[in-house]
Amino acid sequence: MTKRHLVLLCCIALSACTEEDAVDYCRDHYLLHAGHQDGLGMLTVTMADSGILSTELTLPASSLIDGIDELLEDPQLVYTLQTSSDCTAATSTVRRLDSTVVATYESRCGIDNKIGQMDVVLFDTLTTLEELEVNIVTPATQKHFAISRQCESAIFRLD
Amino acid sequence: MSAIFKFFAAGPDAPPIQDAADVDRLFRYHRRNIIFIITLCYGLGYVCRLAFNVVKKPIMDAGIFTPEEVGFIGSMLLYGYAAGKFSNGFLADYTNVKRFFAAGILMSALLNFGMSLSTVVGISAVLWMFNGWFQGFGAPSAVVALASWFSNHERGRYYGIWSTAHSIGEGLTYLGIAFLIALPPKGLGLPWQWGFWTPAAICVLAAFLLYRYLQDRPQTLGLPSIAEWKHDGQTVVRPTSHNAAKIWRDQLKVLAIPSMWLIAMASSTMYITRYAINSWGNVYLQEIRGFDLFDANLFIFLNTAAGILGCVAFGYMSDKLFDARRPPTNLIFGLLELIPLFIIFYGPTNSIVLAVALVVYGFGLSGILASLGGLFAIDIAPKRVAGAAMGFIGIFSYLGAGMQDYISGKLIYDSEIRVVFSVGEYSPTVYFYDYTVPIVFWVGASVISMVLATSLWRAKSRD
Repeated sequence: MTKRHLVLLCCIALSACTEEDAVDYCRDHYLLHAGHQDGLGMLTVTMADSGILSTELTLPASSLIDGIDELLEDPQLVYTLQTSSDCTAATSTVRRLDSTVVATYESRCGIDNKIGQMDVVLFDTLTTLEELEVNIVTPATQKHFAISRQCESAIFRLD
Repeated sequence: MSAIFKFFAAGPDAPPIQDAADVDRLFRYHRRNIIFIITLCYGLGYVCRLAFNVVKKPIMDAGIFTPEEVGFIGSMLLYGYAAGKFSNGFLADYTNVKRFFAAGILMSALLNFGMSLSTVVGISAVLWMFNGWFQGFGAPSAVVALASWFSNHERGRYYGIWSTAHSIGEGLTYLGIAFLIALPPKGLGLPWQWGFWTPAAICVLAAFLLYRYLQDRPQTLGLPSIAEWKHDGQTVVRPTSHNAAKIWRDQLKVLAIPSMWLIAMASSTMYITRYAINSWGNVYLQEIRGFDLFDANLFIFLNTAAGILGCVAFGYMSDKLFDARRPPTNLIFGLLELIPLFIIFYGPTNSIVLAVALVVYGFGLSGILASLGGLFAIDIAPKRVAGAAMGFIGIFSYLGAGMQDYISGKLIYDSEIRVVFSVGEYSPTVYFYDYTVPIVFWVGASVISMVLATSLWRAKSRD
């Protein structure tokens, strides 16, 4: 291979690298998130050392449907837990705050009762819900991400 | 099969070159090429060994492997490497290292490529175990090249230059590969498979460079031996059937020295911490401390880079300040390794404190490893069988490291909490882990290692 060929190859490689891609909704979500963040639902889950799991769900007006208050009063339509032994039945309260609905839930699972999995079924319950910002706190760590109906995986980079 | 042995066998001596000027010119040319190429290519080859560490978290996040499976796969490389270190050391003495080294790196490249295609734990484990074995071709080949082309009185300097290859490899992996995988703007956000494709491409290049520029023994090119050319050093005595039996008996005596067992245990437990931080440290920093993939790997790189200074400082300090007594320096470096560990895991969460603690930890760890895995062991072993002593400790060390990878993965996996979102056809899943128990395992191993090493305070050197 001559030097000229090598230079040509490098130029082709560089031009391929600098070719501008279209913005991908899931991959480049951080470019778009700030623009629509105010209209999103928010889910906050706190798993405490004491075995109490507290959940707060805030839904904006855009994702509300008829009978939403009754739907949200049933915790099973929001989440279910897979634990090593049974937790107490989750309590729920649903209230209106301006144009939003705020639902809170509490499940008492006990100190030695390991939570293996939490299934969030909210998107199945609310088919108008497009995207949810989620904050989950465990005794060891905390994660903040978004779940979108258009994306296969959770979106961790939001800004 | 015999064709394969023939291909890899050391070449026959060529007719001697008579012109002294030609001999000088060829020696200078090949020595310059060889030190450069073994340093560069051993460093490049390292990327094919470490890349899995960088992509562990993306693989776990994608739900391809659980932490336990990731730990199992990681441990297989270390078992393969331990076996390779033992067998390839013997083989390298009889091979044309140019071909042996290049073949090892090329196979490693193919196995990395294979890893990018596999989502089956059993297949990945087998591929990664063989990768460990082929990675074991590199160090013995480089050492044989150093012994063939550099004389006794200059080998220390060149060995030092070659040793920087570890940092080249770690830098390329923990910064370069992390850059490819990390999300923009710090990285390119490429899929995890690139974490295997890129090392594979790098290793193919390294194999080509080795095949092109590394050389078999000087005599195969018609040159005299390095000892003759440099008028330096004794003639290498090849084992005969008579003295080989005696050497074997002496080698077995290593096993009867209680101090050797204690050093082996101390080294093994220290390797638990070493590989825990190198394999799981970046995952811990992302999972628990919330750093992104690039920053987490940058922190791990800091500890490995500080290690170069640690090795040099340990030898200098033990020779100059303690009259070649290793135990006092073991204690100092042991504390320099242990105290930062407590700060990293139980101290303030400030990033600067973490960076400084990782640098001091890397410095202390490398010093104590240089002693337990080398200097101290050679002091205590009869010099005639120093190689066997090193092999004995090396196997223990890598068994400890391998077991660590699986146990750490299992302990992390036991704490897993999955949050699964049901979103039409998708089920995005986010995983949460608790590192409390694995951290006790990692730090506890270092505490045990320091206690074992300190228990040899009165151990005497042998001639």
